Amino acid sequence: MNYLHKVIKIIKYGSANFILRVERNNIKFHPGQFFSIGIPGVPINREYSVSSGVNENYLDFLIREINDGVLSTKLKNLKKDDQIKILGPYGEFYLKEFNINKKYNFFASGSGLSPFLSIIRSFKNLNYNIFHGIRLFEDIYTESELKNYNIFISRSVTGEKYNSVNIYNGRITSNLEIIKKFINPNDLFFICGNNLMINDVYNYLEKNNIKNTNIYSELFF
Amino acid sequence: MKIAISFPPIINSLGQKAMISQNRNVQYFSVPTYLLGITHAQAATLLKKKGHEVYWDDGNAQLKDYKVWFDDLIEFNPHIIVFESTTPIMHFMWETINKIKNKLKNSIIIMTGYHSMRKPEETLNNSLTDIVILSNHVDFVLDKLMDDLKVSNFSKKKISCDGIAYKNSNGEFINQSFKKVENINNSEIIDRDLVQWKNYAYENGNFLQTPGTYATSVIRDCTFGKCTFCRYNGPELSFSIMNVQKSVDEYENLINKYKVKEIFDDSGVWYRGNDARNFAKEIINRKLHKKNCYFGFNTRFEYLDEETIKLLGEANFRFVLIGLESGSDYTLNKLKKGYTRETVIKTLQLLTKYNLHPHLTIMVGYYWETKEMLNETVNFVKELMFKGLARTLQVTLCTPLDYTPYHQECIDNKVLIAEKYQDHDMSKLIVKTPIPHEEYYKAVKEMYFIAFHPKFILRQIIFLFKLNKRDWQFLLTYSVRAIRRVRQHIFNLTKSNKIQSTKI
Repeated sequence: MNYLHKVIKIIKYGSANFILRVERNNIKFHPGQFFSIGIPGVPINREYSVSSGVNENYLDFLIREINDGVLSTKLKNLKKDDQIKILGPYGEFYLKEFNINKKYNFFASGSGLSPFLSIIRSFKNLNYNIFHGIRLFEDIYTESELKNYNIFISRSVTGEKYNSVNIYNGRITSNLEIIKKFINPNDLFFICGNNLMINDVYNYLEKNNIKNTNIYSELFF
Repeated sequence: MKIAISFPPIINSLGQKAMISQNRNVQYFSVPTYLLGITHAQAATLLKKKGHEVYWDDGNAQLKDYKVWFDDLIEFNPHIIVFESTTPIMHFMWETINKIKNKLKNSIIIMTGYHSMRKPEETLNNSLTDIVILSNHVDFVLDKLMDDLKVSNFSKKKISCDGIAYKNSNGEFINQSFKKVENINNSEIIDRDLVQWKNYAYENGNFLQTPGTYATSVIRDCTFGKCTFCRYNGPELSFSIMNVQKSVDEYENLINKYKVKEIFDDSGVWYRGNDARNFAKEIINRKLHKKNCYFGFNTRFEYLDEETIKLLGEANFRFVLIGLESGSDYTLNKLKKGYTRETVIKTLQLLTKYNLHPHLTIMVGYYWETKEMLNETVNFVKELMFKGLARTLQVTLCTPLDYTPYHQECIDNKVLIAEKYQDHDMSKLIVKTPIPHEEYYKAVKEMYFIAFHPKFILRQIIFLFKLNKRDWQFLLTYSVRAIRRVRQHIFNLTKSNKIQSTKI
């Protein structure tokens, strides 16, 4: 079995984010799934959701470099043609129902956007709402690309003041009442990011009569 | 209300007790290990806090025989009785529930656990169980359920709580969706007195020093949660993480108030990265590492880096339980373990470098496992043990359980040869395999006998020169217990065919 994939490039952006692009080597996956990634000879791996679409011949991983993080720093410093170890795909966080009459509501904090990008890039005909929490506006890489799709995007920015349409200051969880008007109880809801955000958004949706069967989550830790 | 959280004693025809073992699997042992069911203990704590009269009723740990246990429960006459299900004891549980219902017609029986949550209708059809809890968050659901179960006006039509299955008064199945995400920072730290913690403090092979105890898990289920054989796997499960301070507060209390000498966290996988480092730093800040108490946890290969492991060593961590499962990359890939054997040695080298004692769990008898794959595992395990890279090991027969993906895979591929649920007790292989079952049993014995090999013993003697107290304890105390446990495992394999149905 060959788990090794060559790095195509590293695209750095924002305060500490980067996209790790590697050769796909015919790996099949469902958009939304994750892979276990490591560097050969280094006894550390971490799980990262793929952010590229199923029709691309490469795999993208949207990664935030963690302070004191062991692997993310090493991954950020990889060069073209370096090899990384990729195992997977894993997970159940992908669409099992495709309905063009429904809205797919995606709540993400930081790099939790990654699985949603993969879904959007793979299924361009569906209707999406994205509610994305970021620290700085420069932490957005995909803005121009997403404008090409049928997507409503709302950002919550914590690290700087912003006054603009559908951009709010503070965390996603403090803006839930504002973004409530975009939500229809019959739609589907997907949450991806840190523990606290997932708990708060889930509780909010539940209190607003969204059925548990319509809520899915993936925790990044 | 009066609520019993009950674990009946189950004894087979050889006089062995059905013990909840690692991963809450059931195995029969004559010298048992008593494991505290953490989530159930948290549920008991929460219900007591809410003003209910809670009866912690672990017949095994309380050393009761079935009759005494049964009579005591009837005498307590609870409004609600909570049981836990797992595949090999389902028939026993159903029969027991029916007997209880005969005596206590008004009691409400609630079944929890990973088997019934995946097959709720089966339990509702085969027994007089009133409600099956579908969520792994037993504590949260039980708490919410209490309002519906006020006995005087209990009506199955009126249950509004999510996360349960039941039959309504028309005999129709009601299967309520449930909240998959719960914040375990809102869960209770276990009331040690309520669950009679000392019953679990001594008979446990994971403890080098006693009394030992299991901490309230910092991770409910597993952060990875994709290994196909494991019950912490499925779209209905989502792990959650407790904050570090809350957990360290519990450790401090366990050490200072209960004087425990070893604490093990049985979370599917314990903290990693910053959380693991912050935990170790907090233990050191509070000087808990100087209190003669060892700490331990479950982890995965490739989860902990050297800096973290070094800190854990400084914080007096000792026991690290780590699922090797197989020495074959083909098998690791089939099991969706998320790592390869390439880095196993490096991880173990780091753990031993900082005086941690890795304990390997290994399985054999996968339905695809060839002689070559089996040899890869045996030889790899020997290499690791002889090099001193792991201190102890546990080998089990891979047994499909609780409708995990591996279980379902065995059914779909028509390789499951067990005729009844009792056969899923890990005492024998119950899947068709490419080589005779005896080959796997032989491999199990071969791996257990590593403990008696001169190379292994010599390695333990060499460790003594590092002058660590734990290494001396390991050789002088732990090895005696290890011999006893190896004998039990071998006995189980050689006598497996004689084990008949359970006595009730």
